[in-house]
Amino acid sequence: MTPRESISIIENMINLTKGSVRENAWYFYFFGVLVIICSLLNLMFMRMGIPEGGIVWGLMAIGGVIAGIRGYRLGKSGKASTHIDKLYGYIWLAFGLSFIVIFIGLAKLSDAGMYLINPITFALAAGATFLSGQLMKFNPFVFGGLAMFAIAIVQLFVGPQAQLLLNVLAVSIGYLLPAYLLSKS
Amino acid sequence: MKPLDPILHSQLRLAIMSLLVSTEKAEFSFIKEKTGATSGNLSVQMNKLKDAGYLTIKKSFKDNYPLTTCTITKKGRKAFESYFDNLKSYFPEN
Repeated sequence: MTPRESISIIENMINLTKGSVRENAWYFYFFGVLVIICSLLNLMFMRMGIPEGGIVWGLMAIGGVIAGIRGYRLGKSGKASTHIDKLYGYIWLAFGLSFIVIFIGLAKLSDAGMYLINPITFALAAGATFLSGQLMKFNPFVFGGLAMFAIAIVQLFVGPQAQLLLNVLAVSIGYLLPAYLLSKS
Repeated sequence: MKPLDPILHSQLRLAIMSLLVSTEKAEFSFIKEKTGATSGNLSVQMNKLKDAGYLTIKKSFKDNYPLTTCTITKKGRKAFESYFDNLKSYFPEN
């Protein structure tokens, strides 16, 4: 075996362990659609003058549990678990834990705090999406994450209803479009 | 040019170690599928790597079927890194 053949074997085998990246598209589709549903329902309740409309975001917690169970089951049934697969999990776990702390903190600020929840959540999600994109070496998620950062900044300067519409735009650019491109790649 | 570890300098053993270096653990069937090796040959080569202390083999059961799981050891990872570093010496820098 020549040294060049050795390099070729190493390269081919390491590339074969990266095949599961496409499965990540499911999570981005799932949470993208969930954010759109929650945003539009919240907007509808807001326009109807129902102040408790924000409760629809509880669906995200249920979604988090469903995604967690799916990830755990896939991890258990998978024939191999890569270090990169684990890193994705840790990135999004860090996002979830950061969100819980920030949510509790902002809830204590009442209305002013709730006004900040969308831009801060998207800034966190943008960071996790950007890192996931870099790990996957898949630029649509990298650019999607950057676009979400920009949208989070815009959200700081608009009213609550416009924030909810910007949520739809953010997940469309940051989650759904890259997920579609990933599943077709 | 630096010498290459003879345990790793074999097509199938190098392929096994390359798969394990980027996974936490891998099932025997996964390695078989990715390398395209026969079960018998794979077992023999994996045992050679195990005897060298480069990987551990755990046998258990999953849904009533026997399950063999392989994990690279610290010694194996270090040997793989040294092999890769030594391999680079065969390619003069441009």
